[in-house]
Amino acid sequence: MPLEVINTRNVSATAFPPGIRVSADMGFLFLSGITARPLDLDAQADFEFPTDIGVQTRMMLQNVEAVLEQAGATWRDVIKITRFYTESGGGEVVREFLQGWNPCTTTLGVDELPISGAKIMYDVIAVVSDG
Amino acid sequence: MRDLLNRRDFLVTGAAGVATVSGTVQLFSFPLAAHSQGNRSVTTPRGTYVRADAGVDLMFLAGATALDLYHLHPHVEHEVIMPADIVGQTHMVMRNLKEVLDDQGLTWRNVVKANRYQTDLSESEAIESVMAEYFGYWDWWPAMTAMKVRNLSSEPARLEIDIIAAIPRNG
Repeated sequence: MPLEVINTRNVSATAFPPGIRVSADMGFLFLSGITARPLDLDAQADFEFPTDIGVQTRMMLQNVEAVLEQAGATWRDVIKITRFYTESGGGEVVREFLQGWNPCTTTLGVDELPISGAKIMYDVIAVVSDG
Repeated sequence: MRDLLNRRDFLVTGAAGVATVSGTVQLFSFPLAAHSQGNRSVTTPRGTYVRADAGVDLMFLAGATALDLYHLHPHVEHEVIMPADIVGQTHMVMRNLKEVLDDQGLTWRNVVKANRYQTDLSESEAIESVMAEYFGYWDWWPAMTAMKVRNLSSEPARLEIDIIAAIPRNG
């Protein structure tokens, strides 16, 4: 199917369209932003993030891996990572998890992450097959 | 859910202080424990992921701020009209997105991913409280990522949201 450019009003062709619709043969998995904070921890519970970026990276990746597994995907199915960090480091841990797989990655150094104490957050999109 | 007001009416009512933060919605910090789609548990309303099965159309929406969905580029001053408060801005962002969903015959239930770009992360609770009104409280909550930015596309804008919607091809 071709791309379908969505316009909700009659506008000139030069206007930025508010949406574009495409057809997908594969299934998709959209993950929320995930940090090192344990996923099963009550939302109100206190959590002290380890200060070491390598340790945080490992915990974050374990969280992402657990979600991928539960949804029937692996790192190899990940097509896009948007990586937000306040402190660089942890690259060797990432390589250990990704095992040579290199998804499209956008890396953003930010001033602050949504959870206080978090130094790294991943936003992941993966593909999944049926069944 | 509230009826969709047109933008000018909303500016008027918003300016009159009609839109206020609901004090009744229990909010949670980010991210949450619950997995999978359609989770309705009160204590774990968020999902860490949403899965869209094969055979869907995906619709990618442009990031919307409280600025009107269609506006001139470069921006012109007389079009940059929005409430200063985050509650009013969030309503206007959601109405902009809803205009596109409505146009395509979709609902908030079709939204599988949302990215929030905020100038102030301490406004997350107020933003989520408004978003919850549109998502039918905890009937549905997409995979969501929040991030802090220093500036958005216009000076008064405090929030931009972009979404991805999934539409089953035969239904």
